[in-house]
Amino acid sequence: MLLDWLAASALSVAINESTWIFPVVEALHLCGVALFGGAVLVVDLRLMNLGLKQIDTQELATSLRPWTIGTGVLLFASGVVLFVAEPWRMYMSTAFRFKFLILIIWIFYAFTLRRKTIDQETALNKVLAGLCSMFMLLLITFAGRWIGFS
Amino acid sequence: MHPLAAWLEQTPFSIALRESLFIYPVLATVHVVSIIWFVGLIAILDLRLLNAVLTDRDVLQISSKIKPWALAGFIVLMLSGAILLAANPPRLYLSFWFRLKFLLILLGAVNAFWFHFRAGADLFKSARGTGAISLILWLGVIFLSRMIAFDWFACGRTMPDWIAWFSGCS
Repeated sequence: MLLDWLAASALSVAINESTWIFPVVEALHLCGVALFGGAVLVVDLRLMNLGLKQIDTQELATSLRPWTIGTGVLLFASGVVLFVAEPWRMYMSTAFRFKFLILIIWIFYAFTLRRKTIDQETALNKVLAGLCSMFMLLLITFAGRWIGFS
Repeated sequence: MHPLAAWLEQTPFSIALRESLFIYPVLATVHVVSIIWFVGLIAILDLRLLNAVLTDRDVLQISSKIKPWALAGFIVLMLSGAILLAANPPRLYLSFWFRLKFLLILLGAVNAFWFHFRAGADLFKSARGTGAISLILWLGVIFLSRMIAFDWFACGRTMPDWIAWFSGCS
């Protein structure tokens, strides 16, 4: 099984034998959470006509896109390493499954509806889009923390 | 151990925090969410100071719009942090990582105040420095926070003398 292969991999063994690799990668993951979350939050707030009101939503989103994607990559890379460290535990974890599910939904949502709404004029759609995105990220954050408690 | 930390630990409030099944997770989540809120928003301002995003837009305008939101996030962060501290005062008081984190928070606050109270022209000469220092310090705080959970430098363990001194181990 893939999970057994991952658990036996050199990377997984190295992480589990080291005292510092997992904490450092996890800390990097958290830094990514703050930076990525902030970039998304700024746009979500703008969709709700809060925060950087003087800047066009589209301009804001476009300007932040490289940073958002970059921090997203950091999150994903560190996340993969964290998963490889204990594949079975993550796979069996309800918290992890929930987090991953909402994350997939959010990514799909962000690249489709949310991006379309950024270009739209309708205030209500924008507010809903902002709230929806923020709510999903809140769930992901909560689930991520929940993994640590389970 | 500091008498205040010892006293705080035996108060009903502190005991209730430790005994509750859900308060600590909720508090921890609030703390993490407000980290995203504060550090995430400040990072955008720092990126502007570093001329990395929104380069056509005025720095002071962006700053004035972000600061109230960032400040609100910071307040929630400090409040949730204070309650988390109250749940286990002695451990955190004697924690090497927590003390270092607190020091970095102070430095970060000083840096933020310095930026806030500077005026006009000379702002832009050191804007990049302020932005870089801000990012490094606040990310450093997050990094150190994660280390708190690990007991490598708990008092009584073998560690370099300066770490034992800094942690307040007697």
